[in-house]
Amino acid sequence: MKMTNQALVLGLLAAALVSGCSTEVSYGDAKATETVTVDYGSTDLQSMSGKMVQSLIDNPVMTEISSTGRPVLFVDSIRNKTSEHIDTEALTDTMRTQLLRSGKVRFVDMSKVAAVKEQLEYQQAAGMVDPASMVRMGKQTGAQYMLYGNLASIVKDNGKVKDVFYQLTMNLMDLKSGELIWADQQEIRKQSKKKTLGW
Amino acid sequence: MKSIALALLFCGLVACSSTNGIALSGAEGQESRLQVDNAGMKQRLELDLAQQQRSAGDGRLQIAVRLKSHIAYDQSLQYRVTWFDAAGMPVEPDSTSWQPLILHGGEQRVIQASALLPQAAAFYFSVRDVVKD
Repeated sequence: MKMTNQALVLGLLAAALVSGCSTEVSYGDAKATETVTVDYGSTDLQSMSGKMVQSLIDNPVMTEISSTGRPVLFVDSIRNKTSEHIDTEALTDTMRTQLLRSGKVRFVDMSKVAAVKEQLEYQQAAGMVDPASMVRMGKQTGAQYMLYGNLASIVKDNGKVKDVFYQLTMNLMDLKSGELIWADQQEIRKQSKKKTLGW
Repeated sequence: MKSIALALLFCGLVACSSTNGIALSGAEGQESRLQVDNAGMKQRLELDLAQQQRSAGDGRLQIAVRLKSHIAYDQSLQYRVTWFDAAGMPVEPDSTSWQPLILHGGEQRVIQASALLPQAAAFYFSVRDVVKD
């Protein structure tokens, strides 16, 4: 009987060791909160961009500038002032997508100016495009407002606890007057603690 | 031998965390309704609709939901708002994600949310515990 118990325990341990070495791949919920590490992650991107868009479209300034039609905006970059490598273009892309889907504003994409210019020059000069379908130069819409911002962080680490504070600041500038007509900040604090036991 | 089996069972139970919670739903002109899928959470968290209105500028539905903690320690929660039109179809269903929320002991907090589009006529505000990765 004792031998049987020992064999069972050894069997369970062997099974645990074998299963510990295997790799499991599965799909996750892209909208769930993610707490794998304390570094900037998908939840921070979704949370900051969502709250920033809500703040902008709820603001009376947005009601005012969109009262006579959908104003044209362009997004300048969000400057990454953190110590991490963060793709801030993902933040601006998410915000621009949500603002466009709200139907309140329009955007021009300044990152594609060179490609657009090249295409328009080809249409004008190559002699291969039907003049009836040719897109004329000088007909593009100019942006009236510029959306831009900064992402900063403060990191504290004492070896046991790591505390990271992120602050996203966004501004909307009226290009005609140079005035800032809207600004907001979203903040996130994350903490990781090393456990005394466990791994 | 029994103790080993119990220990293994306990480890298995600890590894699984509950993903259901409580939710508040409402529509224009109707009383909000609380849905409880996690009785334990209902004991420690109170959820009610503080305000529901259409924005003056563009007529988008806005809600303010009050969360009140009934316990003395912090709760790591996450919440999400889903919007529906008058026919009950989801409005921009992929635009909302779970948002983290730390509710301190005894704290009361009001979460405000606005629909992205004016056709939203009803909402579903759900809260659950943070699921650790």
